[in-house]
Amino acid sequence: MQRISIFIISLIILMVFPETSFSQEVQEKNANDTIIIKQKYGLRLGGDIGRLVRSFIDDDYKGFEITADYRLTQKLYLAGELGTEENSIRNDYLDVTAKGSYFKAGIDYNLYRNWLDMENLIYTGLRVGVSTFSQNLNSYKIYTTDQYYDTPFTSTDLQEYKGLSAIWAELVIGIKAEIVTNLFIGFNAQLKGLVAEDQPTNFENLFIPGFNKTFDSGRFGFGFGYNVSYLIPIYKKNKKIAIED
Amino acid sequence: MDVTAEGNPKYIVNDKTTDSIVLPLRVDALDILNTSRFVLTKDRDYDTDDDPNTVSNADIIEVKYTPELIYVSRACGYKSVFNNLSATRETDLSNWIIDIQVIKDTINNENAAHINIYH
Repeated sequence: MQRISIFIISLIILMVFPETSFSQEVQEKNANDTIIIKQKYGLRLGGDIGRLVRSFIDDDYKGFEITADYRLTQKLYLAGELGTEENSIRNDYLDVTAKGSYFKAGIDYNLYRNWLDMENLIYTGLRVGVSTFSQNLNSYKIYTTDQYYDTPFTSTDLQEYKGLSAIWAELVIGIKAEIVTNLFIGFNAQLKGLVAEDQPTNFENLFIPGFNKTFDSGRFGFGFGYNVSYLIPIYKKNKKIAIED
Repeated sequence: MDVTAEGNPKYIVNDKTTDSIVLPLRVDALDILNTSRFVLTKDRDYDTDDDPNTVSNADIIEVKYTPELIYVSRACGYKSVFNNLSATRETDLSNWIIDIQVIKDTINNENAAHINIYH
């Protein structure tokens, strides 16, 4: 908890004092005044607890996601997510359940300059996502402007549209904060753009697992995640910090 | 003129003089032939006037069609389109309808005329 408060305070200080005011005070750099910090490189694995909680409280939703990232350089990470989702959408005329799994892969870039040996991230990233899913029409009612007949035609026969797939690209921004050694909590938001999708005949994809709801107006969508992850350290690398005074 | 669907007490057209009517077609089952029958009654006011010799005249027309569903959008769902439209007039003792002709045998537009009734 102490580390997270240091993190938040350092965030505020970073925003309040611009970097340039520091460099103006430095007259000369002494090569001996450097600290060498060891930074951990490894595999960070986690799960999306937001989706887990939603599965319990939302009757129409069931889903889970595993997140992973692997540090390549001081600021660059290889990242991916694997998940499965089942979501039902209901309105006056349609009752649809979409079910499937997805995989996203890409890179994250840490924008945040950590103080000392802290390992927090404020990052931006890119992903490519792929999903295979089915869109099941549970029931529908015919849209008609005429109300002469009391009940418009309704069908409750399940119609399954299986074996559909979709590909999309994502822009991610998020934070990951180390709360105790090697344990991180994170939040991220995603802006998505559909590249290609299989449309079922005489129907459309209302929800794509991993992509979220589709919209009539375009190929864009959005999503977010809350996750908890653990860093498995594999090796350490030196990071030099020059002391400026 | 009055128009009702056969067996249905609600009026489609209630005591109006008009040269075009819109008949609602009921969807019972998809992709097979459905039938709707309509009762067109001319001069209903003859039944309630003082002259016992004048009487209203009801003719029954039978419309057959095959409904098909087309997806519109997520907000509207599906709409029905009617194919293979055909219409006949049932012959009775005094028909005021002389002939029925189908102009368009596929209904996907509610504004265009599909059937002409000659009387």
